[in-house]
Amino acid sequence: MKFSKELLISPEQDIKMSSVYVGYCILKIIEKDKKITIFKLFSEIKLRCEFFSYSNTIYALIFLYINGFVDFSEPYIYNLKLNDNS
Amino acid sequence: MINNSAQKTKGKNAPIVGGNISNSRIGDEYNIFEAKSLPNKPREVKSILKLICLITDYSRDTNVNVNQEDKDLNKKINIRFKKFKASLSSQFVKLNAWHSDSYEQAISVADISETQADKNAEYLRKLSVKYLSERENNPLEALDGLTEYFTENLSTDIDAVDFESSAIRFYLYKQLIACNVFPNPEEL
Repeated sequence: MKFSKELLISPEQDIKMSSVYVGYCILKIIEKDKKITIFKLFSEIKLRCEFFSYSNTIYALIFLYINGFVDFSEPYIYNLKLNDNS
Repeated sequence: MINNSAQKTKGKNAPIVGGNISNSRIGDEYNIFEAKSLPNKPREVKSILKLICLITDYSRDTNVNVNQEDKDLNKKINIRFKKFKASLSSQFVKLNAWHSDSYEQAISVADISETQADKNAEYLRKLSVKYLSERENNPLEALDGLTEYFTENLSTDIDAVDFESSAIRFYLYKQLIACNVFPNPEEL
């Protein structure tokens, strides 16, 4: 995971392993749900991502949390976009 | 082999009480570190993975370069290494047939972060430039030297029982294409 603004994606790795792309996949999965358990998220992201790895998914979740898209509470991941509207 | 004294407790993944520790299979089904332990990976994949681990170890002290590198393969092969173009490409074609699948598998399993990938690339750049200047700008000899260097260091590793040096060479070729081995100088 990278924090610098200039290079959000590393040129040395496949773009589908980057936290930005995996974060996009996670947002696609939780698009319609207010909350989702981490077990369901992992089982779905395995099918969706070409290069699946556990640590990359965790990095992507941290990336989404920093940018204010998701929130956590023990096993659940909350979609902040839907929770704010209601 | 399970001892006669060992008793299996109830449950699917229950540990074996009183037996050898290696027979215990606690939570085998949900082992999230299965990628690290490499139970049944072929030798080519293992050797590339161990090489990545070794480079990750060595690149601990390198700093990440913020500047964008000039990554022009066309310039490199057709102008800089014009003399060696034929032998470089023929060697790569031979190795690619053997190792391309295992390389992809190893890269997807290696599980290194993006910052670590940057560090590894920076380490390889520095090391390969050093080797190239020692061998009078001959990329083939420099690649030989790099392969030897990594082979020696891998063979001293305790875990490395068997590995293929051609897989290491293929990894270096792939990094050459990604312009991390022998990076183009700025004035080219």
